[in-house]
Amino acid sequence: MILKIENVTKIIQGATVLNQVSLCMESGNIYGLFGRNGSGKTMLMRAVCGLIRITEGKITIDGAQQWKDFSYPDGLGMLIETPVFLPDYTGYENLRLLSCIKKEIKGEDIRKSLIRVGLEPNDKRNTRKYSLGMRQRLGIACAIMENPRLLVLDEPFNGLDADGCEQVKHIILEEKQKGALIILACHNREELENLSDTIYKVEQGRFSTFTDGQK
Amino acid sequence: MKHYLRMELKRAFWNRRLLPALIFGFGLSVWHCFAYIVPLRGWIFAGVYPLSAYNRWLGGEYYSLQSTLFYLLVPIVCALPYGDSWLCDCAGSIGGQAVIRGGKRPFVQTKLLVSFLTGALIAVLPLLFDFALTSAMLPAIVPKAGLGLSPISTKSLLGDLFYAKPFWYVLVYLGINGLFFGSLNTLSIAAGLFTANRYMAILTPFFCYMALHCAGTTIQRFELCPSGFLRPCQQFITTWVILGAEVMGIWSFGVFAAFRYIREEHGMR
Repeated sequence: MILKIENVTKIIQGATVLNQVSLCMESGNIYGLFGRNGSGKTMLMRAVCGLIRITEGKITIDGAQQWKDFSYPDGLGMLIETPVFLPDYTGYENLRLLSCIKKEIKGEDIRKSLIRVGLEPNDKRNTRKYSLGMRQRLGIACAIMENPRLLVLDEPFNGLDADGCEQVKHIILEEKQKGALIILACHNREELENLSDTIYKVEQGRFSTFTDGQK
Repeated sequence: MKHYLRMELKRAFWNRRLLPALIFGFGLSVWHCFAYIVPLRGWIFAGVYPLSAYNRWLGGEYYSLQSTLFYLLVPIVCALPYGDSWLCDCAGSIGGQAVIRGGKRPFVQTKLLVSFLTGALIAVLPLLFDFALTSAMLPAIVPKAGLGLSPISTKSLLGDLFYAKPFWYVLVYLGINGLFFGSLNTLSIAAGLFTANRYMAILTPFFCYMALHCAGTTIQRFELCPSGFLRPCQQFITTWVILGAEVMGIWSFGVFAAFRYIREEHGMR
């Protein structure tokens, strides 16, 4: 998969949140986005996921243009900001309901995803009673459960304890090994450098400079 | 659209707010039965008065507190289980997760359809239950025109059907109730256009219902008041044109909202 972002601009109520962004990303790599709050990381991720329409420019995946040939990337898994699920259902039920839309995976796959992120599939508690960290884990399970080819993770370490962070790092690397294209935004530069193949620095909607990660 | 249906139907009919909504309707029905129907049985056994279930059930009369409460509050109750689902989806991550899997247009369409079904069923099921309960206690005597025992006249909507085939009249009128309250319930989804407050979304169908009532009573055009003409006993008599126009008006707002949601550029989380 080759994801090309060409001259993408997004203007919301007169404010330019993405300014002429051009990036090229390939499968099997992790691309880190680093920048201050409100710099445009999440907005770019939302644009790639198809959750917002860009004002100018184009986003293509393997030559197919978004909003022309497709609306939402095929094989997309995403976690954008703190996940909030249906409060009256268990974690498993939430994922089961979402999996019914595409019908690509079975209950056993969902259980495996939950175990991968350190959640108990048979937990009878509703997500209303989940802690922030548990909700975050569930969000990650939701993103990876359908074996995504494009994985967009915005602050995946939010609210996680040390063990949780290690588990998520391990999952991200596993998904990379499977050949997924991973876009990762994180405030912790050290973690980002450890994980990413390429890091983009984001400032006021511009992705003007980038640094190569340690890998 | 059907790939979303299972998810949304489960959300609508398997949540903790459905129970109070059903308890309201069925509770009123049982209360109505004990307060009005059970005492009438003595009259029947004495052979005093030709009482008919068609004139005594919750929808067949407009003088009881239970009937008034039901037709006053049912728009709120219908919106209770599912009315704020669009706003919750936009505020949480479930909407975005659903949309990337199946697209936005079918998602919005499913929302409107499921809110329609929820509203229709929550409004109609207690009425149907009450009719069955009343019929189990009072004889279903075919009403006779000219006796003055029924408020329905030849000017009433489906008035002829009421005196010819009253059971079919009840079923058709319950269908009209389902159509109207289901349509009205879609306003709670459409309300997301102008409010981010979930309680406002739930109350929007009620405000619209009350606005029609107030407008009708203020200008002395009672046929515009759904709280009166939706009762099978037809407290206010309307016409098919007005009924159709009100339902179409409600749906046009729903369709407009759906169009705006689909075209929205800043999307869901």
